[in-house]
Amino acid sequence: MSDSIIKEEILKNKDNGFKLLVEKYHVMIYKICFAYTKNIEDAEDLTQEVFLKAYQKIDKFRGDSSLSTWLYRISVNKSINFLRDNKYHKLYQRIETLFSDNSELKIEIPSSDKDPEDRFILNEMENLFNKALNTIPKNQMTAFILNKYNELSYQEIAEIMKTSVSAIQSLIHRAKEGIQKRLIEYYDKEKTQHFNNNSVK
Amino acid sequence: MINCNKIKKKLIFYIENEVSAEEKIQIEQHLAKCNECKILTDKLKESLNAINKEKNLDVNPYLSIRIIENINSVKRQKEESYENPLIRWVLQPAIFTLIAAIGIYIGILLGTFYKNNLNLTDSYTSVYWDDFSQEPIEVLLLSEE
Repeated sequence: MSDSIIKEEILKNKDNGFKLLVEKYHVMIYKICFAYTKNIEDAEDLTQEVFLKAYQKIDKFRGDSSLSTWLYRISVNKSINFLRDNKYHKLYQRIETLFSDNSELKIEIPSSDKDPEDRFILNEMENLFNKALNTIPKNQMTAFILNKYNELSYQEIAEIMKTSVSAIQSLIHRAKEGIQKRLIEYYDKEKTQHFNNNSVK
Repeated sequence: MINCNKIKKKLIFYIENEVSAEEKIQIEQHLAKCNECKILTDKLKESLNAINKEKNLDVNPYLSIRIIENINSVKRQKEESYENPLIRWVLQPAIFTLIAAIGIYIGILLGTFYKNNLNLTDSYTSVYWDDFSQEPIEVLLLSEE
């Protein structure tokens, strides 16, 4: 169903029209949220929040951009806010652990296996990729996610991020360089750890 | 002939097929000779597989229903809280004011009742009510001077 028909349906009957919008876009939005959170439950909650915000704001939607661009933009903003809040939450938890007992601090690597119910299992190398992705600047991360996970064109990403196509090209290029650099560092670190463990034995 | 450091910077683009034909040949020739770079390329390919795995991730089939239910429940809550502005903005403050007025009135009634019915002229009691007049220490001190 085309976006123009969905828009017309929303104008006729907001609830029925919005159902069509949810049906069409919920998988795409969920995938964006998952690419940031790497956790099924968080991604589902964020997807609900995205559509709730869209429902509340759709009356003010002027149609300057397409419906999908508008939804993507909300998803990206919500996901980045989630990561920021989660970062402070984790920092607070670490400080709390530091003062509550003397147990060793564990730095949590964002991975899919933190929830046992998660159906998404990654091996060690794949987890390192997610860890590396999480370290690059958020604008590079956004351009990379939209391009690689959602397979959007540079033009579409430029519209979502309100910038030029050449800027997006540069962001994605730098994202790949950054991820590669981090991954090589992680592999070297692992190799050193492996070597040290063997020499201790 | 390009060295390992130059190759390492281009591996991700080689895997993603984003290098020129000439660069591709150079990298492949290097990988055929250099075991370290070959291992690194394999590791990078394995790590990048995380993207493909995530792309094929199954989505909860009830997610769209949950989204609609969430919107409806938020809408219901909002409607309930703003259901009747008369109750919210007029009746509710009026009831609170009335309850406060009744409380003050009962307080005044109780005060008047005890004032009229208790014998406050009793000396034991009057100490508590007017102990200054019973023990005028300051006055005595002043008179001594």
